[in-house]
Amino acid sequence: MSIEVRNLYHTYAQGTVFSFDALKDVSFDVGAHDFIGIIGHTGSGKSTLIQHINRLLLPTKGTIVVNGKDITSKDLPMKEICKRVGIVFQYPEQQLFEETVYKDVAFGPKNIGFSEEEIEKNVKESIELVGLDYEAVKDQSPFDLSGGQKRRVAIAGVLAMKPKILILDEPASGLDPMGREEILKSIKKLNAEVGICILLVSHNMDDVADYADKVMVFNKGELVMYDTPAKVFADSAFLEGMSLSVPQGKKVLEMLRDKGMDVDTAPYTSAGAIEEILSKFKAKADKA
Amino acid sequence: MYDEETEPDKKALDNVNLSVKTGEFVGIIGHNGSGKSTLAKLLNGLLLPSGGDVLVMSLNTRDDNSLIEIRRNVGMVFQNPDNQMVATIVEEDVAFGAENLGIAPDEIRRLVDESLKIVDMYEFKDKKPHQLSGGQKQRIAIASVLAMRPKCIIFDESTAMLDPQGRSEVMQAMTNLNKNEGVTIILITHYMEEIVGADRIVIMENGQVVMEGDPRSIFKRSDELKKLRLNVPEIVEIAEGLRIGGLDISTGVLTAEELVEELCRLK
Repeated sequence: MSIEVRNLYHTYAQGTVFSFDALKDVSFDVGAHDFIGIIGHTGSGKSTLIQHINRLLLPTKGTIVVNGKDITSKDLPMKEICKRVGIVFQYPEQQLFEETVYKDVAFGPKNIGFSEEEIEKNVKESIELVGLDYEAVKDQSPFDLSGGQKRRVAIAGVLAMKPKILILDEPASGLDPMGREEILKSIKKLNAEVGICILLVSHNMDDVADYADKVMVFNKGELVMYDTPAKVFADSAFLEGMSLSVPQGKKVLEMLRDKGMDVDTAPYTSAGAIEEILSKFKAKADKA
Repeated sequence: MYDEETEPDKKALDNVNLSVKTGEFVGIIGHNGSGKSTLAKLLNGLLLPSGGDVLVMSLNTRDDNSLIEIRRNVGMVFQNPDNQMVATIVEEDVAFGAENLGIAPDEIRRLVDESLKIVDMYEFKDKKPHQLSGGQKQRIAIASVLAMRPKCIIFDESTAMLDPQGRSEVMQAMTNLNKNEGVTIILITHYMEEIVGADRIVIMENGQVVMEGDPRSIFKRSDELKKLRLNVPEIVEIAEGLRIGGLDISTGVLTAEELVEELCRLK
C-alpha cells in the first residue's frame, strides 16, 4: 500500500476565534500505481490534504503512512519524504528561477543529496518524460520558453527527485486546449509506463473522467466519496449540490433520458456517450 | 489599430485591426503567447501601442488627458480573485474604484448596492473577502468594476481558477450584464464552452487576428482550430463523433440543449 491516511483532521488557527476545520476525519488508501482524481469546491480541503502527504503540513490529529513509513514522525528526515512524494503546485512555472533549464531541473535532486551522475541522468530522463527535447532545451533560459513548456520544466524539476508519488494541483489550468491535452497525456504516461502513483487535483470534470481510475470527492473538509469515475459521476444531483458538475457526455445522456429516450446513462466520457447513442440508433435502424 | 513591440525583434501584436460595437459580446481565443492579454491591456491603456492607435469611444489611449475617462469606461477582471481585493469588507472593496473617481458618498452607496445586486452578492456586503468562495470573490471583483459604471468590461481568463459552480456563476453574471445592462463584454478564455453564446469570436495567432466570425461558423472549422492549438467545445466534439458514426446531426450544434433537440428530431 502506497498511502494510508487514517482519521486525519486539520484545524487552522486552532484555539483562536479564527479556528477553522479544513479536514475532518479523512481516511483512505491509495495503491502504489493508482491514478486518482481529486475534486471538490474551492475551500473543500483538497490543497490542505495534499500538503499533508509530504509533510508541508502536520495533522492536527490522525496518521499518514507512505510506503510503510509514518511521515508525521519527526524521526523521518524531510529529504526522505521528498524522495517519495513530489508536489507540483498551481502555476508551478512561477517557481522557476535558474539560468538554464538544466540547472532548474537539477535543483531538487542536488538539494536532497543525489550524486552528480545521478543528477545528470535524472535531469535528462525527467525532461524527456515531460515531452521536451533534452538537447534543445537544456541550455536555454526557462524564461524564454512558452507557457506550456515552462510548466513542463517545472514538473520535470519535481520528477528529477524520483518520487514514487506525484501530486499535481490543477496542472493544466491556464494552458490552451492543446497544451492542456499534452500535459495530461504526459501525466498519464508517467502513470502507465513509469508506474508513478498520481494524485490529480482538478476542477475539470471531463479531464478527471478521461484520465483517473478512481476519484475522491471532497466537500467542506470531508471525503464524501471515493470510488470509480463511473460511480462518482453516476449521480449528477449529488455532485451539483457540492458545487461540482458531471462531464458533458454524461449530461447529454441524462438530458436524453429526461426527454424519454431509452438510453443507458452509465457512460461518463464523451467517447462513451457517443458509443451509447450510436448503439441505440443502430438498434432502432436494425429493428426497422 | 495597433502594433505592439515588447522586444526589438518580437512583436506581441502585429498590425491588428479590430472594432468592437457598443453592447457586443466578443470572445477572444488563441494559444498561450498568441497576444490575447497584450491586446486586452492595450484596450484601456495599461499598455500603449508601439505603432497604431487604440480608440475608446473616440478617445485615444495615447492622450494622457483621456486615460482616466477611458479606464472608467473599460474595466478589467483578471484571473486571480485574491489579487484584486483591496479592502477588508466586501462593500468597501466594491466602493474603492468609485471613491477614487470622486463620486459623492450618497451616490457611491447607491452604486455599490446596485452593483452588488446585479452580481447577486448583496447579502454578502458585510462579509470579509476571505469568507467567500472563488466564484463569489470574482463576482465582487465584477461589482467593483461595475460601481464605476463602465461601458465595457474585459475578462482576462477570469474563470480559470474557479470550480464548476464558480465558473457558471461568473458566466451568468457576465451574460446578465451584457443582455440586461447593455455592458459590452470582451472575454478572453481557454474554455471554448464559455464563448458559444458570444456575438463574435476573434482568434489570435502570432499577434494577428487570423479568424473571426460567429460561434456557429467558427466551431464548424475544428481542423483549423486544432492547428492553432485550440479546440471546439466538448459538445461539438460529441456531435462530430455522432456524425462520423452516421447520424445526420446538423453542423451548427453548439450546446447540450441543441444536441439533445437534434437527437430527439432523429428519433
